[in-house]
Amino acid sequence: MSSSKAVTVIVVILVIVGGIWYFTGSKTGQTGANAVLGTENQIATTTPVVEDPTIKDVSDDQINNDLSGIDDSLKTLGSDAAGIDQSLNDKAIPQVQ
Amino acid sequence: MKKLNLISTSFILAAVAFGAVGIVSAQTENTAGLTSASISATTTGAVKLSAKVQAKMTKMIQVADKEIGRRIDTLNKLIERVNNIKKIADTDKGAISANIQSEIASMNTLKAKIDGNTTDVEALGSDVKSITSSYRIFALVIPQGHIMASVDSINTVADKLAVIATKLQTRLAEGTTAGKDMSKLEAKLADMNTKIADVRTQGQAARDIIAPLVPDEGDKTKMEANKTALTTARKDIKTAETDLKSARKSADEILKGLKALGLSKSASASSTAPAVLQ
Repeated sequence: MSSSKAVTVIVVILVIVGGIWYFTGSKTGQTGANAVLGTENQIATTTPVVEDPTIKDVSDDQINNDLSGIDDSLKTLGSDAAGIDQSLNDKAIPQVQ
Repeated sequence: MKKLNLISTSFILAAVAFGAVGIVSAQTENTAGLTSASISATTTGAVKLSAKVQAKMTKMIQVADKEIGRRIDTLNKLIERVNNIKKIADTDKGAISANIQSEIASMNTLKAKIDGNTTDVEALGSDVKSITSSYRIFALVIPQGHIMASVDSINTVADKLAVIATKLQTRLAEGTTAGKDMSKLEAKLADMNTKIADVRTQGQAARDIIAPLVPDEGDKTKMEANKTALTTARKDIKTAETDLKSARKSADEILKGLKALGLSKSASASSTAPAVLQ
């Protein structure tokens, strides 16, 4: 085999190996089972919707309405927190005798 | 002489055959951990289970199906909640969602494996045990998801309280302009704003603790580390919850304080008020 043929064969092999490595790498990089959560700063802050007319309403009634909305959201938080406790206190399955 | 050779060869073959049956029988007993009364082997290699063992396996499958069903239900409810998350970064939301979907798929695969096992009691026992030992759903994935959902709720309430605090600030300023002593109510509002800032910090801390956690896969050290992290995050959420309730109470007290000072405001009077939030 001439030296030019040998070089061609080596280049072809390198391209194939590189291609396999690239595709395998990109697949494992995808989000999969038990993916670790992003490490960047995460919590998206939202600004109040300016168009909402209730935002400009500083009356007693509107503030009381706003507080009722808070109570609903606190209930959701209570439910989420109860879910944490329930899962952390899970017991192993009793074995059948 | 030929006849004699034939007879002795037959005896040797028969002895080898009986020996093979004995070995198969002994192996079956050791593998399943059952007595020879429970399992018997035939020369064709098929294993026959006693009615007692079959009943036990049926019961094991029923228990497993119930436990897997409970986990899948919990995971489905959690993914519904995660889909409604609004105040968490999409990367976190996506990762939690992918983990939950993956666990649901694993549970369904395990269920199919357990339901299809009608012969191997030992393998069935291992699979049933793996529902809690290997698939760390309740140990990590579900609490992790609920903690993220809680952080979302904390941010939601904090944002709403911040809007109310701004409205109350406007009302207090109007009271000051009217010549009233607003110092006590201003102190309450300052405390409310501090609490709102604190809960955001606590929510972020809870998120930062649990986001990098991965399943322990049987590693006890990792399991303990995960448990500690989850418990710490839970404490942060509890503190945040208490602070949010306290801030909400302060808002109520400020509103009542305004009323006591004769500074109530009706909706019609408010409609001409200048914009509070830019």
